[in-house]
Formats: sequence, C-alpha cells, structure tokens
Amino acid sequence: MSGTLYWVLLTLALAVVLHLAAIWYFPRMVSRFSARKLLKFAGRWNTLGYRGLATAGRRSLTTNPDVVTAFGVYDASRGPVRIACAVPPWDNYWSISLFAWDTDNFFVVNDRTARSKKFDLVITSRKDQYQGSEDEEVVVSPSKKGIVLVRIVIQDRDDPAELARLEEVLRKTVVVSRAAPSQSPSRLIARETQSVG
Amino acid sequence: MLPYLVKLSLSFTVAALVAGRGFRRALRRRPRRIQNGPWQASVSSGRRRAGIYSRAFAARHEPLGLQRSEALYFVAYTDSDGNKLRRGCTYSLSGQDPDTRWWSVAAYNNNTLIPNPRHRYSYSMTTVLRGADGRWTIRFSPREAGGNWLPSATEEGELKLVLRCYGPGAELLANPAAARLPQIVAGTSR
Repeated sequence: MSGTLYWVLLTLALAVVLHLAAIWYFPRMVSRFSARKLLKFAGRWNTLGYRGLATAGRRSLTTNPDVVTAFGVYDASRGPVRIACAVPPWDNYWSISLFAWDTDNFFVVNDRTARSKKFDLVITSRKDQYQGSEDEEVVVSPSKKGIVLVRIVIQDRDDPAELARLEEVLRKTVVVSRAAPSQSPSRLIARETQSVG
Repeated sequence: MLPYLVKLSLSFTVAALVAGRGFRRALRRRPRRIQNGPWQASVSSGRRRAGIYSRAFAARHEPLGLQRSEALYFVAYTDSDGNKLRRGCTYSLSGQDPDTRWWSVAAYNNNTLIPNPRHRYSYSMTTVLRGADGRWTIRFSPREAGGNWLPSATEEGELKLVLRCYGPGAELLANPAAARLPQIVAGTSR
C-alpha cells in the first residue's frame, strides 16, 4: 500500500513540476518561434525588417491592418545594440517597443514621449555597464535576446502616398551597430536601408 | 532494478500526460479580464507583474501586445445581448470615439483578417464616417452595404472584433470597465 502511495505521490509531483515548467517555458518558446520567423524577413540578428501592411490570406507579424510595422530580433549578449530612431514629423502614433524573451513588453516609447525626433536607443543586457550620452535612451534588457517592433499608425491604408511616407520613416529607423557611439548613423542608414524589405 | 525503472517510466509518462492536459487547459482558460459590455480587455497587459499563467495565455493569444498604458486591446466575442458573434450574420457597431488618441476596430476569423475583394479590414478614428453629432455606426455584414461597411464573411463560423485604443486617456486607463465603448447590436441573418 505504501508502495502504491509512493508512486501516486511521485507521479502527482512530477505532473505538477512538468506542468509548471511547460507554462513557464511556453512564452520563451513562442519568442523562439517568433524570432525564427522574424529572422526570415529581417535577414539576420540586429536588423529591422518590414513586410508591408497586413492583409487577409498572408501570414503577417501583426494582425493590425492599420499599422506599418518594422521588426527585428536583437542580441545584446556581445555588447549593447544601438537603434537609430526616426520619429515621424506628423501626428501619426509611432512607437518603438522592446519585448524580452519571456514576451514581456519591458520598454516602449512613442512619438509624444520620445526625447526628440531623432534619437538613439541603446539596448544593453544586465551585465553591461553602458554610460549613455544625452542623445541616447539606454535600456537594460531583462534578457540578452529579445524582439523590437516599430509601429506607425496609418491614417488611411488606401492612401498609397501616406503609406510611402510612413515606409520612408521606417527605413530611417535602423539598427546602426553594436554600441560604438562613434559610428556615423547616416552612412549606416544608407547601407541598412536595403535590408529593410 | 528493472521493475523500478519500468514503474518510473510509467510514472513519468502518466505525469507528462496529466501535465500536458493541464497545460492545454491553462492556455485556453482566460485569465482575469476587464469586462465592459461585450468587450473584454486583459488586466495584465504590459505583463511585467503578470503571473506565469497570464503570460502564457498572452503569449498564445496576444503576442507582442503593448503595455496597458500604451495601448488597450478590447476583444468582443459576443454582441451586447451576450449572443456569440457569427460570421455570415449582420451586426451594427455604434458609438462615439473612446477616450484615446487613436482607435480602430477590425473583424477577425479566428486570428486572421477576413478576406474581401475591397481589402477593407477595419475602420478607425480617421476613416470612419460620422454623423453630425460625431457618432458613428459600422455595419458588419456578408453583403456589401453603404457607409461604414465591413465584411463579416459569407461562410458560417465564429467572429471576433478587436477594438484597439492607442494612447488611452487617463479616464479610460483608470476605469476601462466603465468607459463608454461601442454597442454591438445583431441585425438580421442572411
């Protein structure tokens, strides 16, 4: 009898541990799948990609039909990652948001809360001791890897001129480099633009 | 030794089956939600302090959602009378602008946009046609209609509406359950 009780209790304990482990791990697994999907479009780590407006019948990163979205997967394990942000001059909602590997949205700044129309966002992992300058927004990521999204609301998705304007803004928001504050963003913007599909 | 290993394997297999069943149930069970008429919103959007169950649910159903202070996502699965929204039926969504910087409402079949020849998937604060008093009505129906028409698909099935509020105002953030949100009224089936 005590032997049976032992096995029942062991099985129950195992079930609880496995269940909790699966629930804990699931968001991280989702991030892994999302990152794999995003990397297909962005091309590589620490680069932003763009797939156009969401439409029916096409797998898209976002199901929101009224935003243009650039996306990428960052890896701050080998040093801070710098993103040169360009905020649109119009009153369209714009935001850049960072998602940790457990899918938490740990940072977001929008066009009204951004420090200026052009600024650098520097993502560091916990271990890094990065001293930012005044023009930089330094964010400590809870995980070394994560997902970055840039959203701009399109006021009328049937207006190709507006779409072209917003896509131009997205192209100016680029991952410039790992840290290296001395690099010239403008040169790198031109180079990186081609990969922002 | 061998019987012990067999029993251990059996125990592990049973535990894995039980855990898997619980896992699937946990992903289906909605965590605590804000309810406002037919609209539901997540309590723990932003999720820094979310528990592991809320985070897992959000990762499955609301991936890459913004913090609550930045955007509120209201989802409706029923009309204002509590009846399940169905594709192929007609509904009117009427109200006024929520207390937010920008909003949009879109219809979904599961989590995908509903295909239609006009590629019309949503109406927003900037595209909706309004009456003289600023109020608006969006009509969901399988057949094309005038005004603010959104296709609700021709085939039968469940329908989901999502109201996105970017830059929610202080009043909406403080009490989303009491905010004045659009009503969803069923019309005639096709």
